[in-house]
Amino acid sequence: MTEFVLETQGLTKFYGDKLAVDHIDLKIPRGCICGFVGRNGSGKTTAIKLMLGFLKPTAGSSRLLGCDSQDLTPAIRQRIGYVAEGHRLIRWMTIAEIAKFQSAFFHEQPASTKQGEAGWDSNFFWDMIDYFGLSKKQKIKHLSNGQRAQVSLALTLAPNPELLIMDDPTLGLDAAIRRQFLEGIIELIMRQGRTILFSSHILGDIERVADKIVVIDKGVIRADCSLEQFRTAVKKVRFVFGQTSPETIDIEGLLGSRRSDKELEMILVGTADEKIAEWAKSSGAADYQTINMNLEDQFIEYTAPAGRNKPFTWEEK
Amino acid sequence: MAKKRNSEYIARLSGAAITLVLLMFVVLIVQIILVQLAWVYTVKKQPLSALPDSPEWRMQKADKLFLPDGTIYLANKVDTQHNDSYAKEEITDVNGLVLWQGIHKDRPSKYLDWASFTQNFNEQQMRDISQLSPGLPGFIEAPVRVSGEFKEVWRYDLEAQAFAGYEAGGRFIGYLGANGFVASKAQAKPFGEFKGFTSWTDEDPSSIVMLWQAKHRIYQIDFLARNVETLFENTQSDIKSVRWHHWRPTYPKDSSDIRYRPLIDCLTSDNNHHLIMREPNQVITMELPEQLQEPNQIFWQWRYNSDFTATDKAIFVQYRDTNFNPPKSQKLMGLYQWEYNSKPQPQSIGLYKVIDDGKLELVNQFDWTKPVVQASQALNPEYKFPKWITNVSPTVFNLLWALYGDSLDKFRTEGTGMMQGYVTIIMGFRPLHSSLNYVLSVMMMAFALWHGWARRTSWDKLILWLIIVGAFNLAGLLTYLALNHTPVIKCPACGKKRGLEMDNCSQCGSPLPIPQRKPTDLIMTN
Amino acid sequence: MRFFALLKKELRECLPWMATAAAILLLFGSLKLIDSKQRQIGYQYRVFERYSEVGGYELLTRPISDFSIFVFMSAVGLGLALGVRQFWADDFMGTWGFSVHRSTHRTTILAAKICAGLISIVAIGLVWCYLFWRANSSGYFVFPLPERCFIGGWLICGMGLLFYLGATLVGLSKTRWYTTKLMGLGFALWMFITLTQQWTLWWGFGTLVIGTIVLLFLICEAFLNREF
Repeated sequence: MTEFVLETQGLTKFYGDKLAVDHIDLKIPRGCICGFVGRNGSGKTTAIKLMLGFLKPTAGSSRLLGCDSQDLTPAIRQRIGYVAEGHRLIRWMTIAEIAKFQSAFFHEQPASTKQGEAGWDSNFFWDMIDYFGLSKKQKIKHLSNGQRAQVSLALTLAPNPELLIMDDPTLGLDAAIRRQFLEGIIELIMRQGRTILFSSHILGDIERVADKIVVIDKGVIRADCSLEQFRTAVKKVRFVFGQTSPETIDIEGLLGSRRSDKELEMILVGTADEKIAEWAKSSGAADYQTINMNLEDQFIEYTAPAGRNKPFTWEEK
Repeated sequence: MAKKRNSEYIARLSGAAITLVLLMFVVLIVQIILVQLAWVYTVKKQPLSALPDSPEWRMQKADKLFLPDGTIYLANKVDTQHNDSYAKEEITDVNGLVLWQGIHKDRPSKYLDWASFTQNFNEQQMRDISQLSPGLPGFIEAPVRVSGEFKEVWRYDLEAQAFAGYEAGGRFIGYLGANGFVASKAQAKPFGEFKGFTSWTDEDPSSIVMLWQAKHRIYQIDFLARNVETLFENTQSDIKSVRWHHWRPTYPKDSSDIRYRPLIDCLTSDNNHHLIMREPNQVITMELPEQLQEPNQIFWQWRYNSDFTATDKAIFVQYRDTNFNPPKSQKLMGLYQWEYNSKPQPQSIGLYKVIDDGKLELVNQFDWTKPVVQASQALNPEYKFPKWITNVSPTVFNLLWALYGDSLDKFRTEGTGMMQGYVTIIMGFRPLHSSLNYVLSVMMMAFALWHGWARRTSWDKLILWLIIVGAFNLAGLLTYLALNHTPVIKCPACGKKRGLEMDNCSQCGSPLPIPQRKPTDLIMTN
Repeated sequence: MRFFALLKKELRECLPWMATAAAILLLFGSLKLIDSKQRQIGYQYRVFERYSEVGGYELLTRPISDFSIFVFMSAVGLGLALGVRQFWADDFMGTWGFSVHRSTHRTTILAAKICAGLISIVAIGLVWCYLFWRANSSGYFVFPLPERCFIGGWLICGMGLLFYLGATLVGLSKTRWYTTKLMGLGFALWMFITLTQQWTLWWGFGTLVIGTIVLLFLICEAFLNREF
C-alpha cells in the first residue's frame, strides 16, 4: 500500500467571502517530487499554508506525515523542511548565528549516523555555505536575494528533512543561482525516501526535477498527474482550411481555440491522435500540425482564462 | 471543525466582556458630547440667579444673627462686587430698621458665632496624595524645629496608621500612635481608619498640632511634645462629622464681646451630638429632639440645620427649619424638589439653650416665608431634549434603578473616588422615559437577530447575544457586531445567505458544494 | 534547549530597546538627583507662622515625585516598543513563517517572547532600584525615603508591562481596527486608570496581577489560534 506523506481532503479556505482554495483533494506519496503550479492568485501559497497549519481551513482537512496539520507536533515539524516565499530570515543575525539558532531545534547528528537520518548535519550546512561562497560572519540583511535563498536552502536541508515544502523558492533569482538551488534539491533527492513539494512560476525548474505536477486554477485543482502524463495530454494543434474554418467545433478534450480566416488553432487535453485525425478529415481541414510546446507553453495554454474563442485577424506578412 | 478547547471559551467570554465594558465607556463619552451639544443649541438661556430684590427675598437671603439673650437681627449684603469678608452689609432688626452698616469682616462681635467644619484635609485628599502611581505617592509630614533648627519630621505611615519619626540626619526615632510615643512600629497602636485632620501652630510655631479624626476617635497630636490625647471615642457608631469653635489658639486673643469656650461638636451615625468642651473640661452627649433632627441625609442639598456654640454662660443650639421633607425614595426626589421650589414655604430659625445634660429650652424663634423659586428647568420642554437622546443607555441600568435606585443614590452621595464619579455621570444619563429605551432595546435585538440569523452556529450563542444586546443597548449591539461580523456567502443550494463558521448551510443544511469537474481536468491520482 | 534558544533570540531583539529605555531613565534620573542635591530640595521644609491654621497640603511632601515621569515614560515606552517589535515586526517583515515553523510547541515560542519582554521590563525596575538606593544615600534627602515610594516605582514599571501585553494583543489581533483590534490597548489603558486610583499596596498589586493575567490569557489564545 502506498504511503502518503501529504494528504488533503476537501481542503477549502475563504478569505472573507472570497474563495481562495476550493475542495482540494491531494495525495503525495513518499519519495515524490511534486511541482505545484498555478497563476498568480490561484491559491498556491494559501494551500501550502493550510497544509503546514499556518491557516485554519474553512472546511476539509489536511495531514502531513500522518498528523493533522492543525495539530502538528514538534517531532513532526522537525521532519518537515519549509522554505517560505521570499526566503524571509531573521535579518539581524549572521549566518553563523542563524545556523546556531536553527540547530538548537534538532539534535546534532553524530558522525557515525548513516546519511539520511534526521538531525542537524553541521558539516553539510557549512559545506553548502562554502560552496555558495558565503562567509559565516555575514549578516542576513547584507545578503542579496540570491544569497539569502542559498542560506535558506542550506538551513532547510541541513536537518535532513523527510518532507520538504517550498513556496516559490527561486522567485527573483538569476539563472545561475537557480541552477545552484536546484542542484541542492537534487542532492536531497539523492537521499532515499525524501519527498518534495514545491511551487514555482518557472516551469523549466519544475520540468528539471519534478515527477508529478499539480495545477491549481482559481483555487481548484485542475491537474494532478505525472509530469509525463501532463506533457503528453496537453496539445496544441493547428488546422489549415481551404475555405473558412468551421463555426462549431466538436472534438473531445477541447480546452480552447483561436481562429483566423483559414486557420484554426486548438488546445486539446487528453485527445488521442486518432481522434484529431478523424476530426481533421470530417471538418475538411486541408492540413493539420501538432505544435511543439514546452511545459511553460502547455501550462499557459492550460490555465489561460476562458473566452479565447474570439476571432482575430492574422496580419499579412 | 476542530473541537474548541475550554480555555478558548473562557478567553472569548473575557474578551467579549472587556469589549463590552470599553464600548460602554465609548458610548457614554459620545452621549456626553451629544448632550452638551443639545444643551448649547436647545436650552433657553436664562440669567443666573436673577432673583428679584423683594423684601421677601431679602428676608430669605439674610443671615439671621442671634444675641445671647435671643434677640434676632438680620444681615444683608448690599453689594456683590466683593467676596464675603469684604462685602458691604447692613444689619437690621426684624422690622427693617438699619442698626449697622459696614464691611463684613468688621461686623460687631456681639452676635453668637457657631461651630464650623474643621477638616482641611479629608479622606479623599489623603487617597489622592497616597496613590501609588503614576506620580509617586506623597506623604503628610509634620516638621519639628527646636530653637529655629530643623530637628525632626513625623511622617504618616498609611499602613501602620500612625506617625513615624525621624531625626534630621535620618535616624529613626519611633512611632506616634493612638497609645502615644513608642519605640517601634510593632508597639504602635493604629489611630484607626483615617477620616480627616486639621493642623495649626500656636505661640511656638516650631511644631504642628493636629486634630486627627478617625472612624471612631478624635485625637489631638502635639508633635513637639510627642503627645497624643484622645479627645473622643465611640466604638458603637461612626463619627460622621466634626465641627469646632475656638478650639485652636489665636492671636491676638479674641476681642469678641462674648467669651467662648473651646468646643468640638462631634456627630455620630446614631444621630447623637457629642459636645467636647474646655474651660472647664466637659463632655455632653445629646440627641436632638425629633423636631430638631437632621433631615433625610440623602438630600442632595444636604447641610446641617443645627449649629452649636458654648460660652462661659451657656451652651446654645441654633436650628433652621426649612420645611423640606423629601421622600425616602430618590426616584421621587427630582419631582419633590420642583414642587418644593414652586410654592412659598414657611421657614423658621430658633435659638435654644442647653439647660440640663441634653435638654433644651427655647430662647427665641423667628418665622418667615420663603418665596417661590424661579420655575425649575427640570420640566422645561427644552431641558427634556437631552434626556431623549440618552435613550440608548443600558436597559439593565433602568432595571437596576427600579430595584435598587436608593442604594445607587446613596453610593453617589456617600461614595468617594472615581467610582462615585462614574455612578454620578451614569445616573445623570438615566433616560426620562424608560418606555422609549425599551422600544429601542427591542429594535436593536431585532437587528441583531436579522444579522445573526444567517451566521448562527448554535441557538445558545445567538440567544445569549440577543440578551446582551437587549440588556446593554447600543454598547451591546456594537460589541455583538464587533465580535460576530463574520463573512457570509450565497448558498449555491438554496440561494440564501449562509455563514462560514459551520460546515453546512444554516438555512438548508447543505454542505459547501464541490467544484464541478471539467472534461479537461487531468486528475490521475493513484 | 529550544526554549533557551528562542529566549536568547528574543532577548537579543529586545536588547536595543531595553538599553535605550534604561539609559534614558538612568540619565534623567541621575540628572534629577544631582539637581535635587544642588538645590537642597530634600532639605526644605516650610516655616510656619504663629497661631496659624496649617493646610493639609502645606504638610504634603513628594520627595521624588519628579522621578515618576521618567520611570513612567521609560517603562511604558519600552512596553509599547517591545510589543511592536516582537509581534508587529514579524508581520511587516514576513518572518512569521520562519519563526513559527519550529520543532517546538507554539506556547514555547510565545513563552520565550513574553519572558524576554518581562525581563526587559524588570531591567527598568532594576535601574529604578539603583536610582532609589542612590536617592536614599546620604546627602540627597534629610529623611529616608519610605518603602511606599519604592513600591510605587515598581508599580509604574508594572504599567509598562500592561502596555506591553496590550500592544502584543493588538499585534496578534487580525480583526479590523474599528472592531476589536485595539481592545488590548484599551484594556491596558483601563487597567492603568484603575491602577492609578489605588492607594493601598494590596489593591495596587492586585489590579496589576488581574490585568496581567487577563491579558496573558487573551494573548495565549490569540497566538495559539492565530493564522500566519
